[in-house]
Formats: sequence, C-alpha cells, structure tokens
Amino acid sequence: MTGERTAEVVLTGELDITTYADAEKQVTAAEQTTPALLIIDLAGLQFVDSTGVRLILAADQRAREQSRRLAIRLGDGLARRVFAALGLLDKFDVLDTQPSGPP
Amino acid sequence: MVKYATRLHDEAHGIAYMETLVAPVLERPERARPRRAHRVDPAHVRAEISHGLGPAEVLTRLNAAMLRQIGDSPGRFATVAHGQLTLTPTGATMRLANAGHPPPLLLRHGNVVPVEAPGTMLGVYPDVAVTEVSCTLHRNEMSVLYTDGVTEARGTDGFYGPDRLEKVLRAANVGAEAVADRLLADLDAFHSGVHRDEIAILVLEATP
Repeated sequence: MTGERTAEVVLTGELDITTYADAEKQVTAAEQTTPALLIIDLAGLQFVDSTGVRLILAADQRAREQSRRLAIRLGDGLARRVFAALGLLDKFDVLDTQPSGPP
Repeated sequence: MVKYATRLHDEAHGIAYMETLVAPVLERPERARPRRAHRVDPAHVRAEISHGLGPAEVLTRLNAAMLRQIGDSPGRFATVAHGQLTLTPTGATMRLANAGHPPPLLLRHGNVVPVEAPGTMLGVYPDVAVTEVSCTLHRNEMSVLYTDGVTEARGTDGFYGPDRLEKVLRAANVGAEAVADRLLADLDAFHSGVHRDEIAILVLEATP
C-alpha cells in the first residue's frame, strides 16, 4: 500500500437483505475514521446477492461526496460473479483484478 | 406461433413480468417498503417498442428514463432482459438485450443453452453497455426466463443454484406449461422458510 490512510472492511458470512444493516454499519464505522482510501472486501463472503451491489453503490456515492477513494475486492467466487453479471466490473476500482491472484 | 407460460410466487411483485415479454426484477431498498421499489414501468417499455426500436435501444432509453425519474438514489437499480420475437414459418427468432438479468435459457433437443448478452444493469449509470444478440426458437424449442430469486432460493442443502435449474429444465422438456409447473414445483419442494426474493418464470415455446 501507499502511504495514504487506508481503512479496510472485510465482510464475512452472508450478505443479503437480512444482514445488510449490519454490513452497512461496518462500512460507515470505517468511513468515520476518515480514510483517504476505503477498501471493502467481499471476497470472503459465503453468500452475496444484489444486496452487496447496493452496499457498494451507496458507499461509492458517499465516497464521491466526501472525496474519498473506494476500492473493492471480489475474490474469484460468487461476489465476482454477481458484479460481473450486472456489468459492474469496470464501474469500480476492483483491486484483485486477477481472479485467484495475490491480494 | 409462440405459446408462453408464466408462474409467479408473488403476484404483487411479478405482475409486470406477466404483462410484457420483458422481465423486470425489482431491486428493493428494503423489504418493508416494497412500494418504493425501483419499478420498471411496462407501459414505458411498450411505448419504446411501439416506436420500432430494437431491444438494446429500448433498454438504453429505459435507463435514461429511470435516471430522470429517480435521480441520484444510490442502491436502486433494475435488471431487465428484453426480447423481441418475430414469428417465422418454422418457429420464431428472438432479438435479445439483457441489462444484468440472468441469461435466458434455451431448451433445445434436451440441452439447456444460455443466451448470453452481457449488459449493464439499469438505473444507476448514464452510460450503459447493452449488447444485442439473436437466437432462433425452432418448433417445440423453448426459452426460459427467470428471476434470480429462482437460483438464490434457499433450501436446507444450500442454494437452488444454476445446476439444479438446468437439471430440472432438461428433464422437463415437454411444453411451456409443464416446464413452468415442474420448475415451480421443484422450487417449492427444495426451498425452506420464506422466499427472500421474487420468483418469476416465463417460458416461451415455439409451436406449430
């Protein structure tokens, strides 16, 4: 990483409508540390549906409003498939662009 | 001609799916407020089609209309698969554009073939990339459109998933009504608890 102040949120378990609020809390808590770069890691989620996309869209909106960079990790499983299916891989700063690549 | 069969688990949320050959999936901000969902208006889609526009252009315009309508409301979006059917002497051809919806599945000679037409979901970005593909439905072949509530249905053994969907469709290759019924019955048998997402199924069949 560079010298800029970075916060990272690693989400685990299942991310769907029933766990959205908790995931959002984790993200907003990280945002409150006012990092220059916020990384949200979805790679380790056992399940994620379009709720995960909603979480990232909202975080992206706030990042733009608050002049913060947002980046995401998708891994090579379900999270990447969800984002790919919705045509979103080129809409975000995806750090792990190589599936199965090093973090 | 083309016959079709539709099955819904929840009439209130799938009705737009029935009304047109368009498959809107409603991405709801919260379960408790389904009425404020980002709804795709079937009338709007029909109006664009009546202008003679092809599927990709219809979806591009629909995206622009959604952006005007909802403005900057992060997290609301919709996926839409839109096919335009033309009858031929031996069946039908379908021009398809797909904005992030699960790919329609063609049932052909006992095989299940996805019709891939990658595209960006609607309602968030002014610039959506929507591709258009054509496929042929020969007599007795079918095309199955479904919402991701199907593949993401939960059972005690995990998620329904694309593999089980394909297996059921392959075994049920016997007419639109029967395919739709068997799929919904298998979903009901599989699933436990409350369905968390809409389940809507549309089966098109080219018939003599």
